[in-house]
This record gives sequence, C-alpha cells and structure tokens, in this order.
Amino acid sequence: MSLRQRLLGLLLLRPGEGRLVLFLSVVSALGGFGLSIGRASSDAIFFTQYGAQHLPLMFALIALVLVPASLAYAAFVDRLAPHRMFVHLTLAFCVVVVGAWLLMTLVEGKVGIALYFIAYGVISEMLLTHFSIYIGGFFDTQQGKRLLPTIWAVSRLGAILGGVVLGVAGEAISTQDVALLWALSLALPLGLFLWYHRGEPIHCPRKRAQASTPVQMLHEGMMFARQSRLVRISALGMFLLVVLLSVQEYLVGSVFSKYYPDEHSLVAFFGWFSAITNACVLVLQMFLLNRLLRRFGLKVMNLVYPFTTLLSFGVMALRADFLSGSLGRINAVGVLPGVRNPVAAMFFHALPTYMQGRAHALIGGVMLPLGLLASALFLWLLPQDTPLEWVAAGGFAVSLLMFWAKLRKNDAYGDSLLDMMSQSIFSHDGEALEELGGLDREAAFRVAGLMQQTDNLSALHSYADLLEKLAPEHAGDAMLNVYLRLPLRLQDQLLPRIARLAPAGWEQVAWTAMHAGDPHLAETTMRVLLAAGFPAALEQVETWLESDSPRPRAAVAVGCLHVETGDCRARARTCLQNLLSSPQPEERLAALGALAAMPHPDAGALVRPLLADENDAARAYALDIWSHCQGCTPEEVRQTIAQAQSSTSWRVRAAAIRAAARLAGSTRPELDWLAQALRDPDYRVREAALSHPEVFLPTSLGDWQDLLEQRGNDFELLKVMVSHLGSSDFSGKSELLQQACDWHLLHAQDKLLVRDGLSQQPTAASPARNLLMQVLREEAERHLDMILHIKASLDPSPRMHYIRAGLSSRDHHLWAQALETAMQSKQEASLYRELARFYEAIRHGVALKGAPPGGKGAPEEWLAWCQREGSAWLGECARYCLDREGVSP
Amino acid sequence: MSLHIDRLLLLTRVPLFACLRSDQLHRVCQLLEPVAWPKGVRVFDMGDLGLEMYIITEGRIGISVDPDPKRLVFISELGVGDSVGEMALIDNQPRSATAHVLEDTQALALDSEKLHGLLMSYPELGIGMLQALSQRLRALNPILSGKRE
Repeated sequence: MSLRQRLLGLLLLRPGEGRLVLFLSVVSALGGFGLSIGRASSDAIFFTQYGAQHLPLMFALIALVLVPASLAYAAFVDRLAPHRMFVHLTLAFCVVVVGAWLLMTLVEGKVGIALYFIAYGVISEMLLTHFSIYIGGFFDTQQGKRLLPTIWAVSRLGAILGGVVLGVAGEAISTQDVALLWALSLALPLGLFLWYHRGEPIHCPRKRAQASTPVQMLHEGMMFARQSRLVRISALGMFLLVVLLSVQEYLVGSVFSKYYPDEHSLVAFFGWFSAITNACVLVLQMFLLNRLLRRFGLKVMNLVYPFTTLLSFGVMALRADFLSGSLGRINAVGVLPGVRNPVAAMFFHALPTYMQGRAHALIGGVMLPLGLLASALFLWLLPQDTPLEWVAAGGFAVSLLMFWAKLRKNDAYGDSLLDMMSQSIFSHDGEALEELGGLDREAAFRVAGLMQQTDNLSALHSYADLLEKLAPEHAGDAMLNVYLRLPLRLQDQLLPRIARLAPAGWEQVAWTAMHAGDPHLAETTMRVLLAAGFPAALEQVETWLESDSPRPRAAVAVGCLHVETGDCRARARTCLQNLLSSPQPEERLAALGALAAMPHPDAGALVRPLLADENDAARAYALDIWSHCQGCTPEEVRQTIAQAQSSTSWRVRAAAIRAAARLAGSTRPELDWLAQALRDPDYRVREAALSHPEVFLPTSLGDWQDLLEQRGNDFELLKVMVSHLGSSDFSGKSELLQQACDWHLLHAQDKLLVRDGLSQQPTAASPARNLLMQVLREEAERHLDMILHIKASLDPSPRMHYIRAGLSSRDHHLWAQALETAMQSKQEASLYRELARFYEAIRHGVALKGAPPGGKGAPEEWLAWCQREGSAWLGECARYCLDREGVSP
Repeated sequence: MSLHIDRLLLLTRVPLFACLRSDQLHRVCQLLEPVAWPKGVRVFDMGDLGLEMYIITEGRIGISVDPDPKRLVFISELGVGDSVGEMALIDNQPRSATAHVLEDTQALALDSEKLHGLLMSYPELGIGMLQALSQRLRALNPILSGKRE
C-alpha cells in the first residue's frame, strides 16, 4: 500500500473527494488563522485597555449589532448560492476590520478598540455559521461525518499558525496592526471563492411556492422555526451556550488579567495558549473525531461539550485559579471549535436544504444576542466583590440545563430526520380505506352516485369495492339505485356484484336493463337471473337455448347449472358438453368464459379435457374453472399445475398459480409453485402469485425455521414469506426473524468478501468476472435490504419503510439521510452501524476486513461457494465465469 | 442460458437498462429477439406501422425525416447502446422517420406488448426512455430553430 493510499485511508477519503477536500481545507485554514489572530488580538487589547468589567457593555453592543446583521443574513442566505454569499460576507468583513484598524491607529481614544472587539464578536459568529452551511452543501450526512472533522481540523492548523505568529511576533508588532493581517486572511478566501466557483450560478434554485423576497424569506424562516422542534430546542441550546461562554470568558479574563497585567505579555500568552490548545484539537479532529462520530454517532458526541463545560465550571467553582482558568479557556477555544461546532453543524442536515441557512441565521440572530444581553445583564448586576467561585457555581447550574437541552435536541434530531424522510419518499401509509371507518346509507348513495361520472372500468370497481368494504349493508341498494343510469358496458360489469349482494327488487331492474340491446349485458343478465331462479327468465330458457350464437347458449346453460331444482340442469349440462367438445375454439371459449364467470363444482369433469387445450385462453379458463371443483387427486393437481407453469403463455402461467392457490383445501400447494411464479418474466404472473401467497406458506413455526434458511437466496419468495410471518401471531416469530437477520448479515459479508477477493486477482478481469462481481454486490445489497424488510415487518410504524426506501435510492443525500435515521435506533444501533459498513463497501467500494469463505487467494473455492450457497442466478454466473476463465480466474 | 448471459453482457452497456439489476436484465434478455441487417438496407420507412423497437448492439443506423426514404440526409446517427423505433410503440402512430443501416448492424428487437410488460415490471425503464427521448429532442432544437429563422 502506497503512502498516498495510507494517508487517504487515515483521513477516510474516498476516490474523487481529494480535490474538493483540499480546496475546502485551504479556505478553512485561512479562516482559522484569521479568527485565531482576531480573537487573541481583540481579547488582549480589550482586556488590557478596557478591563473585564466592561465586558457586559461589549456583550450588549455585540448583541445589538448581531440582530440586524443576522436578520439581513437570513434574508439573503437561501436566495444566493452559498459561495456567492461568502464573497459578499468576506468583502464586508474586510471593510469592517480595516475600518477598525483605521480608527485604532488614526483616531485618538478607545472607540476603535471597542469596534474591533465588537467586529470580532460579530464576524466570528457569522463566518462560522456560513462556513458550516457552505461546506455542508458539498456533502451528504455520511460523507459529512467522515470529512467535515478533517476540514475543521485544518482550520485548527490555521489557528495554530495564527497563535504561533502572535506568540513569536506579539512583542514585535503592535497589536492594532494584527487587524491588517486578519483583513488579509479574509481577502485571500474571497479570491479563492471567485476562482473555484467561476461560471456557477449565483442564485439558489427555488421552487415556485417558496418565498422570493428577503422579507418573505425571513417570514418563511420564522414560520418554519416555530414548527420545528429541532430548531426550537437548538435555539434554547444556543441561548444557554452564549450565556455560559460569556460567563466563562468573564471568569477566565478575570483570572488571567491578574497573572498578566501587561497587554503584550497577555497577547503572547493567549497566542501560545491558542497554539498549544489548537494543536491538541487538530489531532483530535483530524484523526479521532471522524472515527468517534462513526463509532458512537452524532448523539453521543453532542454530549461531549456540555460534559466538559460542566467539568470546567465545576472545577472553577471549587477554586478560581490559573489551572481552572486554563481549563475554562481550553473548553472555550479547544472543545468548542474542536468538537461542539462541527457536531452542531451536522444537526442542520436534519432540516430541509432550502431552510438550513435561515434556521442557522435565525438561531444565531435571535438567540445569540438574547444570550449576550442576558449575560450582560447578569454581569452588570453582579456585585464587584462577588467571588469568582460563586459565579462559576451559577455557571455550573446553567451547564446542567444545557446538558438537558442537548438530550432533548438528540431526540428532536431523530424525529426531524424521519420527518424529512417521510416528505422525500412516496410511501403507502397504512390502509387508508380501513382508516376511513364506515359509511352511512346517505354517504353510500353519494359514493354510488360518483359511478355515474365515470366510464372507466377500474374506477367503477374501485367505487364498488369501497362500498362493499365500508357500507356492506347499503352497498347493494346504492349500486342498484344508479344501475340503470350507467353506460351498458359498466352495467355488464356491475351486475354480478349486485346479484351477489341481492338487494330487494334487483331482478326486475336487471330484467329491464337486459332489453337495452347490448348482447354482452344480455348474456350476463340471463346467467345471473337464471342462477337466482327469476321466474320470467326461467320461462325463456327453451327459447334462449335455441339461439344461433354460442355465447347466449353458454350463458343460459351456466345459469341453469346453478338452479337447484327443475329439469333445465340436465339440458344445461348437455349444452355445455356440446360447446366444450366443439372443434370451434369460439364455442369452447364461450362455454369456458361463462363458466369462469360463474364457476360450479360440477363443471370439473366437463373442463378436465380442456386443461391441455391448444388455445391458451381456453386453457387458462379451464384451469380457473377446474380449480373451483372438488375431487382432484394430489397427483393430478401436481401434474396439471407443473405443466401449466411451464407454458409459454403468460395467461396459462397466471391461471396456474391462481388455480394452485385455490386448491389449497384439497392438497397442500407447493412452495416451489409460488417461488417460480414470483420469478416469472411477466408481471401479470407475478401479480397473480401475490394475490394469495399465504396459502403456500408454512403453518407451523418449525417449518418456518427451516424454510427461512433454505430459501434465503430466493429474495422474491423470501420477501413474501417475511411479510406474512411478520404480520402473523406466531409467538416465536421475533426470534426466528432475528436469526434470519443474522443469516443475511453473514451472507452479505461473505459475498462482499468474495467480490473483494475476485477484484484483487492478479489477472485482468474478464466481462464474465465483472458480471460475477456485480451479481455478488447486488446480492449483498439484497441481503441488506432483506434485513431492513425483516425489521419493517416487525415494526408497525412507517419508519422502517422510509428507511428502506431511502437506502435503495440513487440520491446519495437521501441514502445518507436514511442511514443516519436508521442509526438513531436505540435498540438496534449496533446492527445499523454494521449495515452502514456494508453499505459503504457496496456504494463506495471500501474493502471489508476478513477472509472470504474458503480463505484468501482461493478463487476455485469462492466459485464453488457461489454455486453452493448463492442464489440460482449467482450460481449460474459463477459457472459462466468458470467456463470463460478456466479454473482459476 | 449462457447465450442469455452473453446477451446480458451486451445490454449492461445500454444506458436504457442501466437502472436494472443483473437478474432483472437476465429476465429482459429472455424477451429480446436478435436481428441483423446488412449495410444499405432500411430498417423501416417513415409512415410504416411500428411493431418493434430495436436496441443496437453492433453497427450504426442513420435517421432521416426526408419524405423520400431513399435520400440519405440524416438528422441523427445512432450507435451501440442506442434504441431506435420506440416512439411508434409508445404513441401507436406510424413511424415518424426512416432508419437507414449505415454499416452491418446487429440489434435486439422488442415488440409492443413486451415493451409494455417491461415498463409495468420496471417503471424505472420509463425514466430511461424519457431521458433518451429528451436528449434527442434537445439535439433537434438547434435544427428546428434554424428552420424557423
């Protein structure tokens, strides 16, 4: 492994990310350098010229400036592209810093110093806010966890350099002139932005309904902030943070100004202190933070800063001396930028992209000044001789509150991510039809009235289904009420339903409609009226059976077959026999069509010879009718279904699986039939298989246990099996499905390891080997998807459905969000971290640790394993690879 | 079976099918029929009834909208991985252009019913088709605007 590869591995960089990370790192370093010298010089010059007792006034002034500045920023941040906003900001900040320098050097008095101090307070806040928005836009959530700590770490490098420069040159150059150096460090990124983003659009893409003017942008942001729990709790956290930081700055400033009364020695001390702290933070951010984030997650890392704040205030409450002051300063200049700021920025990924800038700005623009004002008020009211330990004890109490707020923020983060997922993904949320409850008679008649407004068959059936489901006692009356006003084609479709529901007087209505002149409607009416024993129809049987056309004869014969008394049954049977044995396909089809529409148990023997009919439509009808009949031997069923499933006609194959499902009562249907139908190339056969899959599935837990592993690579079948088992009430299903999860996790890992092994073979990969590697990757992904499916089958909430859909998305932002949402699970966090590792191997080609089955460097073993343990398709590809590449690929 | 895998390896290079998994592509392969034309013949003429679309696996086809099918003035040339003739299958209208075989060409044919079945099975294929059609429309824009001027 080359040095470059080692370095990329150490920094967790993936192919193609280097150039962007380098650019952002340079900008970050310049920003860190500028802020470091800005802070050290403004603190030093302020504490020595004004003293810590003037801090409250400064806090109040910073707050007053921040409010309009943040509002103006919020109004524009989501309109302009982030890089363009950066150009405007850095230009404005340069002007302000140079202006402060001019005031400090050319004008007598201390106004320039105050302006410089305020400028730092405002610039640092806005620069950090916008930098996190800017770099956040380049990465998805998972990339952010890997790369953002590194980029922030480079800003530490800049900060260290700034500290060293001040430490070395602090005595030599005037503190005021440091402002010019800072202005220069602001001007350089400006040039970089203009170069890197040349030719890019300067405005953000905006949807039609979204705000366009700055005032609308602000209003929209405010409305969103009110609704989002994450924004509200973040705002509270920001308020507490500002109060704590201000109090800590007061305490630390008070302690250090006792030890370093001279301005130059204080600036040099701050400089070296900053350099050393930042060096430690640099190591933490560059090599540890990204790993800690991936190992423990965002929520745990979010509690680090509140914990260190508690610790630093606790120590100072015991004794306010150089040591406790140093701890407080480390917390403020080390842990805050090193851990808290990168982690806090990542929480904004749980907000919609078009709102992130405004949410960030509004939190800063409203809560930061409020916090500063509250701090200022507190410090003003504080008696001069109050012991610092007492103040620290108050800070400790507020730190506890901040810890609580961070815990609440963690909860809100998970909910907000799920909210975003639900808005990004189309999902069937529950059974809407059942959620509607029931319909009363009046509502049922209104729904039936809607049938008159359509001439579409599927819409008609949807209305009819709705009525039968929600108002079963009124459905027949409601349908009959509109029946005569429907087009004849729709009447023909609706009549069998009405006949089944049998509302009072339906026969007379149907009898009337039969004479409207539509032959199809007439045949259907004859059939259902005869089956219902309607006297007027029975009187016409003789005449109808003399019809020249086979269709009315077939319809009448089938209707008579259902009449329990009278001699017309015998005549009907003879008529059907004649039609079914006719050499004319249209005669056979007429009889079969009528029988299929109204099957009768006695028809089994009549249609048995047609199960092998040369006409596909006739054969499909025959299968359908035969499956309604009793008395088939298991052997006959097996043979008939197996033959029909191997037909080239999709109609026959679909009829075969429907028949197999219906025959569940007479013989145990075979699971292979279902599996075969679910893999069928024709979607209609697959749909038929999904209509009643439960009849093919095991009925005892013991059978399930064996099947879940035996069929582990038959993903289509397994999906159906898991759905059914998940919704069943078997007592041991959770344990069984958990075992299945472990099995799939292991197989996903093995397949990825075999893929890695094949990709590292010394010989050039042939198309056959590339295909095998592709199939291994796809199957590993399907194993992972199966794990999510299993989890979803056990979780009644839609959460897992969103996650599963997000993880199969090609949109990398959505995919990363879904993974992050999954990792918020408290019980299954370790499983999802494992899944994240595998998904990274699949999506980014990251090699997994471990040996493939059969050991390293054993391609023959791997190919044999693929044939033995993989799906039929993987086995086929492995054999193909073996054929094309020989024994050793 | 290995014939289907050979065909599948060809199809993996076709952008239209980029969204499908290999096992799905394997099913698609079973629906396709290989066809071949020598250089110089016409696959179909403008106004013909459209029964099939073709995915080119080897060779080149030129598309002409000239009313005279013998004139070799092409508005576009299609090569390996491109599909031809799908418009008539989508809108059930006669062929809108003439397809000339510019060099010996092999393709895989898909009829209307199978195409609809595929679109029902894998709706993401529809997006691939829309992308291909959009690209062709974009390519035609300069020609159309030139005519208008």
